[in-house]
Amino acid sequence: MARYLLGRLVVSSISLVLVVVIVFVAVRLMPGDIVDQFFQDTGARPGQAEALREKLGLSDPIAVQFARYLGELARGDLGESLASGRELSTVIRDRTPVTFQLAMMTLIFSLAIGLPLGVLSAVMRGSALDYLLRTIAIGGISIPFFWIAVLTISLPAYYWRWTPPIGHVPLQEDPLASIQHMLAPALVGTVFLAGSIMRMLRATMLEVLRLDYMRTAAAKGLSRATQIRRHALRNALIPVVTLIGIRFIFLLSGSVVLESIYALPGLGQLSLDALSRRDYQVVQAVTLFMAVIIIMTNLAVDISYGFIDPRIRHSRA
Amino acid sequence: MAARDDQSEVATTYRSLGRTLIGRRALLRGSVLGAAGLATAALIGCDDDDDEAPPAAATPTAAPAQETATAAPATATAAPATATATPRPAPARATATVAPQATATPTQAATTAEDEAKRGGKMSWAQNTTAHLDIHQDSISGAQQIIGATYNRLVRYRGDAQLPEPDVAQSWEQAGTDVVFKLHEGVKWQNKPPVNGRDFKASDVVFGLERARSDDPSFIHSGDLAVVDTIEAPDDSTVRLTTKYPTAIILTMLAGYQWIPVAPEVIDEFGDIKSPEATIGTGPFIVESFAPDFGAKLVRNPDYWREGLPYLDELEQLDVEDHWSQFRAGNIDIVLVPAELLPGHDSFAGFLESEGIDGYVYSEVMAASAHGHFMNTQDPVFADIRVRWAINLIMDRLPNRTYGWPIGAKPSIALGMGHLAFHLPDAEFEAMPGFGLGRREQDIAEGLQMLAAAGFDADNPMEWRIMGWSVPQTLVGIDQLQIAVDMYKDVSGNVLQPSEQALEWGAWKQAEALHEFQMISSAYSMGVDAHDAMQKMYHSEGGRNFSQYANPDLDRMLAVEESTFDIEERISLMQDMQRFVNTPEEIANAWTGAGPFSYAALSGIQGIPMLWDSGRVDQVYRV
Repeated sequence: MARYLLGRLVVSSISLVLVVVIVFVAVRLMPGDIVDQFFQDTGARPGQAEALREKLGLSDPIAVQFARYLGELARGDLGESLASGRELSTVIRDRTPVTFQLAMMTLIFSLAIGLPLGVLSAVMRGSALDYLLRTIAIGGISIPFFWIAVLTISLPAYYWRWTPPIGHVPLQEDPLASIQHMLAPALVGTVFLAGSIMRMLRATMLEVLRLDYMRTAAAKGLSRATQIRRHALRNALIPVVTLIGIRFIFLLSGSVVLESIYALPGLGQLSLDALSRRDYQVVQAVTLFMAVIIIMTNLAVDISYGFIDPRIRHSRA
Repeated sequence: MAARDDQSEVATTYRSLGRTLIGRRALLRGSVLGAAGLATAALIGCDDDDDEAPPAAATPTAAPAQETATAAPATATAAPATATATPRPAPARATATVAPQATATPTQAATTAEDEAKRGGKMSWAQNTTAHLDIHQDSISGAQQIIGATYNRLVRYRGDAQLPEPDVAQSWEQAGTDVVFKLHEGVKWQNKPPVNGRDFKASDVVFGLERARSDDPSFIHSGDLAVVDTIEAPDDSTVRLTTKYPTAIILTMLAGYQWIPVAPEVIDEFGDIKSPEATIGTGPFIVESFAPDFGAKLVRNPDYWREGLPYLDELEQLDVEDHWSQFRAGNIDIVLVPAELLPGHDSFAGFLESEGIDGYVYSEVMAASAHGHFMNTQDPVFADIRVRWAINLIMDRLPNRTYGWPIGAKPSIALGMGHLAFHLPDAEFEAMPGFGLGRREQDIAEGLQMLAAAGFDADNPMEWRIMGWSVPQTLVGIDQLQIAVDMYKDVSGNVLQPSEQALEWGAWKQAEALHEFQMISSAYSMGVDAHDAMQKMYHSEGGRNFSQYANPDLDRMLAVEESTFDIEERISLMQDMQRFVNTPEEIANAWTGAGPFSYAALSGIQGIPMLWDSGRVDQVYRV
């Protein structure tokens, strides 16, 4: 297991280096820079724009900029925002809880809804309830969630003069208000994620339910509930865990849409603003941070296989 | 209302305004100065006192009306005005504050302001936040309301009357290149460390302005103060500013939000004024919190030096999208009515009523924006001036203009509604090639002949790209682009065949800066003073001279106009320049027009323009 983990860490490190290089180059390939935007409303003095680029380190050759960036990273320094001058480690520390709270609430709601409905749908295969649940699940997956998100604001505003609470209240400040503010975006994310979980679990459950050992379990006289819980669900969960891992990553990286619509000051919103302003440092820092999180999530998913299915643990060992 | 009705009335009003303003001040002596300023402006806007004598010729030395620091409508105490002349007369202004259920005339509105202004309450609005609050080092948009509420400046700009008015400067005298400001007594910094409510001094003004025009390239507005030579504080209540040459626009320019005084000890303590802790002014509200992408909360400054102000207890800026839905739901009090919702309605009132929104107040903010199609004179297609003139003749200005400002739009050349006094008369536009609705067929025929002479016809259509911008959450840029493309094809019978070039905001800004485009279709905020608009768009070194127009004659005209203190003469010179740049020999930009921005407010909030275009939020109140 340790060797397996070590191998994964090496591969992950290579991935991180690639991410650093690609993001660094890609953001600089975008037309325009932050200096153009600084002077959009005013007019620069002769030479002022170039002087500002020099001050911000944007006029150096890209190789020099990259070497400087790597040096900063090596010292554990994510740098400063070109727009605000704030330390990016502080900025990311402030924004991360928002994104994670949204992702975690979405995940918890999705599991709470998707898992039981997936089991129910599989067990009651071919019934009216099965068809109904499958239809809802397909609807949830098919309808773009950003569209649902927009509707959750504009429709009630139009018809009832009401919108879900907008903005963010830190969890530590007022837990109840914080959850209330995060409820609408989390539920919109849930529509998508719960549908995926339900469909995946239903499919794998149906496969497992047809296997010989399930017949054996029934022949042993185990109750239907025990058969499902102890023998079917546990084996059916492996692909679902993979799906959850992938979707959780999607929730983190895709938070930009929900955060933007619901005015949540998280990492997604930060990235969007930074991209728009060409604040390279912020884009690089957030992307690197997300890449680390994603790699760690993947690693956690891999490790979790071993706990769900001992055969995997033993084979890896 | 009046402003968009009748250009001649506007001109008449403007000419009579020097005296009218004084007359109004005399009339209002001892009464409303704060919130009633809006109503006064409305009075002015509706006034057509032809029998009044023409204003006294403005002289290079002009002392402003001295205004009292006590400006509470409720208490109605104001020192007598002692003005001998206004520093710059103001044009007509159409700020319509109208209650939908009990339509009020401007005169009635004045009565309401005096009688019904209530104290307390919160006002919220939605706006994207800036990265920080150091307005010396960032663009103005996004922070101007916060800055306007937190700081005072030497002078502030009365958008409703289009003239600077005293802020911490109680009065000023301008002679040649010298401007001497006398500061109000009793002005104090807000009671936050490290200033802790100490007295405000002239040296704070000098420190702030010197910081803003620092050689450090991060101070991005410094170029706008290039005309300033020295700034001194001979004593604690006097600021002496000298310019490199006589300029009639220095006061208007100093009214910009970015020219805030700063206490030196704040910079010593924090290094900059980016954080809410370091944002310490002398203004009516104190920044309690601010975070990018989150918003800001400001609370009443209990020690504000203008006695009795502000009326409101709290301001809140929210960084949310879909402002209209938030307004409908009552989550914000003020909203810019989205232009894309307005077509099909004859009035804002009609629109709001059709939406079923009761109890609103709407206001037109005479912003400085104007829309046009900007042709790159260095592009192979548009280097041919026959092509540029043909575009000017053929283009139908209405679709783009009425999309941007569905109600109240006017033809204009380079100027926004905030520069209304400097506009050419409507009648002149009607006779002007390309603008007159009555001469469309003739213009189109001449334009097509011009194109044929340049080698373009139905068999060899003229193809080019029109550049527009695209940002998340709004379709305005894309819509304007598509409207322009369809319009050219339709009007020219496909002799003109442009295509769309929609760019993301950052890419668009770079294309502008590098002149990497053929034609731009966009509206721009043109600057507070009409001179700014012409200077930036047409001066050979203008910051927004996207078309790369260059003519030393126009540069000279701009210099002469800037140094002209007689307002009548300035208007005349400005109008001459508009005519000049719209001739077959000079055409570079084909302007479609300008219009007012329409705001709606809930909760009986009065005085939206004071928040939005002049930073006089201390005078905003609820009824």
